[in-house]
Amino acid sequence: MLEIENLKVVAEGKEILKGVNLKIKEGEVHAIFGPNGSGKSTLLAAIMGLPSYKITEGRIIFRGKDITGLPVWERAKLGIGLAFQSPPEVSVRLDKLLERIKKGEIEKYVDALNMRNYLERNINAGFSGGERKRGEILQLAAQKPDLMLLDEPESGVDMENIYVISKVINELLEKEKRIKERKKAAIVITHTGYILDFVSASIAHIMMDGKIVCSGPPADVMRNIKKNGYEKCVECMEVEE
Amino acid sequence: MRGVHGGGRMNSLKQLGLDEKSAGKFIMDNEIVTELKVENEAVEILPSSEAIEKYGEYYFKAISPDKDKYTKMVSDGSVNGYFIRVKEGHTIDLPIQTAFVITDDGLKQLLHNVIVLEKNARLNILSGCLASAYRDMHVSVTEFYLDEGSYLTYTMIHNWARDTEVYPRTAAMLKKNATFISNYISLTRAKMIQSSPVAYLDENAIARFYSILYAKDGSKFDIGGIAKMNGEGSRSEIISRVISQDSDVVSRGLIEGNANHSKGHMECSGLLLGSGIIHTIPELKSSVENVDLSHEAAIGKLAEDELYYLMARGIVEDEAKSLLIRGFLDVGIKGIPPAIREQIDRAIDIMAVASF
Ligand SMILES: Nc1ncnc2c1ncn2[C@@H]1O[C@H](COP(=O)(O)OP(=O)(O)O)[C@@H](O)[C@H]1O
Ligand SMILES: [Mg+2]
Repeated sequence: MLEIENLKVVAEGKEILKGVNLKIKEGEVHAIFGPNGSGKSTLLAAIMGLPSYKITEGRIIFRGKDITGLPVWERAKLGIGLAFQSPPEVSVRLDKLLERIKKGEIEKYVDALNMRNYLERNINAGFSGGERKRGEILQLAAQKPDLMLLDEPESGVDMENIYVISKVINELLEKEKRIKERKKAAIVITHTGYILDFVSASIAHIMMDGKIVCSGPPADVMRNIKKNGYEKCVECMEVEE
Repeated sequence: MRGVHGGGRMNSLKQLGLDEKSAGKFIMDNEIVTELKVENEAVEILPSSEAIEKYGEYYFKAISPDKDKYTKMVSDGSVNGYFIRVKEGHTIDLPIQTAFVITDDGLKQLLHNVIVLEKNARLNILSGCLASAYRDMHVSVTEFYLDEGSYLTYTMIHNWARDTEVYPRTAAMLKKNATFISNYISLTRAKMIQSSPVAYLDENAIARFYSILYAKDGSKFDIGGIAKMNGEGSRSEIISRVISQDSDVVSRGLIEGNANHSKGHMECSGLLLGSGIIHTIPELKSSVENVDLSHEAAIGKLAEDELYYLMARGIVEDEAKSLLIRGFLDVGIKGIPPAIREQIDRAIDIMAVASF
């Protein structure tokens, strides 16, 4: 579904991604771990096509199409959806935006995510951290993207609500279907890994200083990070390979 | 051809909400009253030419004819415009609709309007102005007399021609416990609009001025509101949303707290598109100790991060911009009937967003 080849990205003159390679197939969920500032959000921004991130080398192929130069809204229309790590306040009412972007019924998601009282407010205006995250997932539920880019969806969200958003994410990922029948995929950036207790990942990667330095089964990668920290973890994972 | 004649005129009046059910109507084309209808016994509507005989005591009482050259033009000219009165204790549910249409090139439409609400009367007025002429001018004096406990919502939706100059002079006298809500919506180009309505508030009276302005294409707007809180416990609010697109806008406000326990708040948000100018001049003045006055002003341009946030949802750039513009103009007017709110929303949808 998604192929990223040797992606290099510069923001404000500084190289942030230094040659990222990543391949994602339908039905897969890729988790990305990595220290603050290692470039995780930048990778999602580059896939989505947000400005201020300039691609200097490499390509992004989505469903066989080179999208490296496409504007952001066109990528969204092709089926890529981003749940922002820190979404801005937007002076548009949430219900007006949902009305505009929804593909099919979203009422059940509004209730599942406890967002009914926020519909008539401007997007994220005065929302708490957790409310913003739920709002992001609600917008993805309206968009129904084929590839979901989830940037720390659980940070600032209480346990109960992590469960709630995970349920919706699983539904959007068609987790009820057999793996082979699933057409959706996701990249999940997570610090804590909590979300992976509910949304199972196929593979996990560690990003360090603008590169994916190792990949492996999520449970092993997480265990290694916990035991040895990011730096050490890279060494031993390499040894394991 | 730009026209408000025939079907075009009907459509434009519709845009201004004048096709809806009403408690009364007053329409003036150029200098002639073309419709005057009253559908509620508690309401009296007269052309000012007649009313000035019967109700002369209300004319030029809240505003002096010598205030400036425009009030002078009105006092020197022949008397046009309307007189509206609601009898004591009556609540009029349907709005009264008024419209002033200019189609004659070079016309100076001079008007003198008077609105009287007797004790505890309640009324909504929906007032449309529409021009499709060259070098035309609209000059009006409007006086409101709101007796004790009365409640008026006065909503003006204006649709001027490129070339129109507009000089309304407005004053409202609010007796004890009276409420005046003034909504001014002007979303098309005009050569010049200069207006600064004044409200004088007695004890516990409330005045709220809302302005939703979209100056485009070289318009010049100088628009404000003045609230003089002369009675204890009176309250006022002056709130504006101003877009300047290659235009020059001055947005003023003055709130005076001249009596104890009065409370006033002013808020001006400006949005610049293209090479616009917005100059906000919020003024607060108080002559007694126990008052609560505040103001906020902010001017910005469309925020990139908001724009890209919407585009990341699959919305193309122009549409994302118009969503943000629509959102910006949504001032959340309080205290008006749903039908009027819908009318305002519709006008914004048609005139501001669709034409962006
Ligand atoms: N718009 C930007 N302009 C300049 N530098 C940026 C921008 N966005 C991110 N960076 C920098 O790029 C690096 C990676 O940031 P980010 O991708 O947000 O990291 P992560 O999500 O892994 O914490 C950081 O050093 C950050 O300061
Ligand atoms: Mg990040």
